[in-house]
Amino acid sequence: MQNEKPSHLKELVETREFELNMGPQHPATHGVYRAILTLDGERIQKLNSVVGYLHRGIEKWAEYRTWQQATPIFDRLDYLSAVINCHGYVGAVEKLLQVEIPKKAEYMRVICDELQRIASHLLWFGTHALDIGAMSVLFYGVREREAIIDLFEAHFGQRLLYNAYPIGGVRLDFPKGWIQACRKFLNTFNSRIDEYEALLTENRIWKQRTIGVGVISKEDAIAYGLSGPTLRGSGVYFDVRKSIPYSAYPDFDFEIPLGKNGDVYDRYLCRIREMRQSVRIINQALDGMPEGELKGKVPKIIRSPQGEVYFTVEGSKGQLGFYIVSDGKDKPFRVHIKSPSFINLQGLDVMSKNQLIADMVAIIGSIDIVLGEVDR
Amino acid sequence: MNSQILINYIAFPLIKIAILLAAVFTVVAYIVLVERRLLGFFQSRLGPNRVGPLGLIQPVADGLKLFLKEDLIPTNANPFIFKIAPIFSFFPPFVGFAVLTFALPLIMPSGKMHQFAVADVDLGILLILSLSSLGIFGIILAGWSSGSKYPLFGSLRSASQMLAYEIPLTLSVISVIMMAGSFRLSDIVTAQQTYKFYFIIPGIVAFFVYLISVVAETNRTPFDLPEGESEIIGFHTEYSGMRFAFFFMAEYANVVLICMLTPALFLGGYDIPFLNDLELYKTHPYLVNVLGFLSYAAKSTLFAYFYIWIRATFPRYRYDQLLKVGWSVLFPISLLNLFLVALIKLFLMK
Amino acid sequence: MVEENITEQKNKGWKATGEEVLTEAVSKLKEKFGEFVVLCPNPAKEATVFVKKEKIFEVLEYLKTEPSLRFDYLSDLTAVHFPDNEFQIVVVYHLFSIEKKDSLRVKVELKEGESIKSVVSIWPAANWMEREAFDLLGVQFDGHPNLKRILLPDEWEGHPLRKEYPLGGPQENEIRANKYGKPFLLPEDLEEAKKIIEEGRNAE
Repeated sequence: MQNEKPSHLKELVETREFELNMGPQHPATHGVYRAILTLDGERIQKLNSVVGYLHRGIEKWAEYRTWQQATPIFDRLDYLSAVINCHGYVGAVEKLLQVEIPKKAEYMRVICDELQRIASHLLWFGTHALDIGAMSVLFYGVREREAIIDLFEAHFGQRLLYNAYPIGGVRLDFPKGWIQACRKFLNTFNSRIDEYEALLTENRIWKQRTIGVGVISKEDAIAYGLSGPTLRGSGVYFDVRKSIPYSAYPDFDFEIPLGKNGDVYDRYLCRIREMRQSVRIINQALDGMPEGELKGKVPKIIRSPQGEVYFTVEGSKGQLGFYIVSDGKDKPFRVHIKSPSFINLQGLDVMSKNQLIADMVAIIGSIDIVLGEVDR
Repeated sequence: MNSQILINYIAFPLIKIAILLAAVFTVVAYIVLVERRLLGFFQSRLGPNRVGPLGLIQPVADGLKLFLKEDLIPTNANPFIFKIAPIFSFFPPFVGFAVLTFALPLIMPSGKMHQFAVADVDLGILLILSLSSLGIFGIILAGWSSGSKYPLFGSLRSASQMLAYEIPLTLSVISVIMMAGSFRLSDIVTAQQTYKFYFIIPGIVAFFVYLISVVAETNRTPFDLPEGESEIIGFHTEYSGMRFAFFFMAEYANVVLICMLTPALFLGGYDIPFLNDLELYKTHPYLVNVLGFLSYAAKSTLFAYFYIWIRATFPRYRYDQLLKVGWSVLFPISLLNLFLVALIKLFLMK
Repeated sequence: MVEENITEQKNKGWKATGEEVLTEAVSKLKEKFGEFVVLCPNPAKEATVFVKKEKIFEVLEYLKTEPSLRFDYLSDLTAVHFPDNEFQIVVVYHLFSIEKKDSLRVKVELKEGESIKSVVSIWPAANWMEREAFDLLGVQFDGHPNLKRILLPDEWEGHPLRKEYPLGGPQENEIRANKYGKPFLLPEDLEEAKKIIEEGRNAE
């Protein structure tokens, strides 16, 4: 940029690039993420990401625990969607053991997964809006999320980290009256979403702040390995629930919302529409809930066959993958987590090129990172 | 003779200043509480309601907390400027209250008239405008002297924001001045009373331009860029304790000042709606004083509510977008409106 | 050559069970690269191939660019450490084709101290994944634009996901020696701790 200054100004004023350290303690980085920005005025020339402040060595830790003991630690990855994380790990072990999961358990898993996806998106909705300055939305999002957490509390007994599924199925049937309570929530939820959207979706300021900001093209999004709504915002049809179907998802009729331009606004719309699709899936699952066993045949002490397995689920942030290597003992030999936030955060560099600091805040919000998952 | 001067020019104004300051401090303290409570209701929560009945003692508790906090000065800061910057910010809005007139003059039993103002000077509105630009210096100095990058961004933003908004603001105020034919605030209200319509009707465009620019002027959402707490935290990042409280109070004093100025300019100030004030004043002067004061307070409260409502609703503008709105939308509109108002004044307001 | 290495490895320590899966991609690879590509069994019927280190970059580039395969999405890249094998490090690529909805696992074996060509030029996504593999397992990637530690601090010593690295870190033994700071209390540890505390009391 220096060279673009008029020559007569160049002699008088010396301009230089400015380095700004954003984070690890910054309200808009959604945790302990640090970005070293090289700025020209308020425009970002270069972004250097520093992560790892929350690294807890989960992968190493899991190698020292038996298959069942390792389950709860994966809740702590993306602590806003603990149920889906648990599904990812448990699903990987089941795939390795080739366990047959009862249909009813699969349906219950789908219901809880989708509720968790809504809860996670609601918190994203609030914090993303707060980053851009609309403060009230946060409280509305949290209010709805509270209803879901109450449902989870009734079912799992916990409010944030549920240790949701055992290997082989689900622990308990839904408690009495739970399904009615869930339906009641779903019936009001769609109209609530309409209300919240009225605050933002057609708001001129919101549109000015988000349209055309943080654009990443279809090709770049794939090349950078993005996943989840961050990828679909660019118009790529890739959702693990459809592309690599797992659990009971093939039984349900739902759509994958796609964006067009790959900007912050499209990613916002994708997530909002995804919540509506989740409601659709849950309603179908509640209607078609089969009767039967809750748990497949899994021995008390698991000894898996030697081998490796890669199982992915559609987490609330994107494709959450578990690569597990077993050496035939009672503990995993190696667990590797493909965490969507970690990979999506790579794309921030491309998205924030030549944007303003204020945009950068909006872009971080639109990627929806959770640092527990980035750093593991 | 001497004692008369002492009473008229020193004792009386001092009493007025004391009353006004006490009132303004209370209002400023309580508008913070009102805002927090109202935001709570907007956001489906309760807001602060623990200290005292309905949380009424909350401002005292807040003030006490800030007062007792340690006064930190960063090593990189320029200590002298760092210390005086809050005063620059704090002082102008409070001076601005001096020229506001709160009701028609009080007629004493002796037949003397007393203005309901500390100093109803003939350039009152200009004084307020120039003081409000002075307030920006506090922000710029605070950001610059903190010796930290985030406050510097805040103050840079504030400087360019001021340039973009002072001009449409002043132009829209000028259209009011043209209609009233005076800079004196009490004259502006009297003009509206004699014309028997409020200046919002011929000056509707100016009113909206004013309403938008004033939000930017007071640095509140959606134009709270110097603060922008989710991006750059703000020009007062490095301040704590009482020095921070000065900025905080200055911001709210500005809000209160603007909320009281707006009705005076566009909604007839202390004029009582649907009544012929000036006629009634001849027969029942005290009644008009009281009713006028109440009507002024009601109108101001309406605007205060409006600003809080805005804060609860809108996202924040981006820095460059705000400048664009200021320079390429509001500036030409207010300029054109100036000509329009001039024509109205020339042909319709005889 | 490669066949031998793999059988050797199978005999030594870890060996995969299950059946070999032959998908279109695998057969095309086999056709094009012949002996450099070896099928690997998998208990969950996932298509898996071993590729010899010399050809890995060409194979991955072919998988990405070949129009009938188009593995344009690098789902995951990681490495596993087998301390007992001759080839200690196995780098694992999980590829996915968004268009064809087809997945493939490609594995490469490395001896201790060997490096491998970086695939950042094929998939930019590999940038952080390779940094992570370097950080946690010490795999060297040639031609990586910025091969630095990512999750751990720059001055960290050792690579935690290697098997010889203790769970409590390099100082684990020191911590174990510290009678109050034990990371895990096993029953026998508890006995020992009781003894130590008892001794301490007696000394007082």
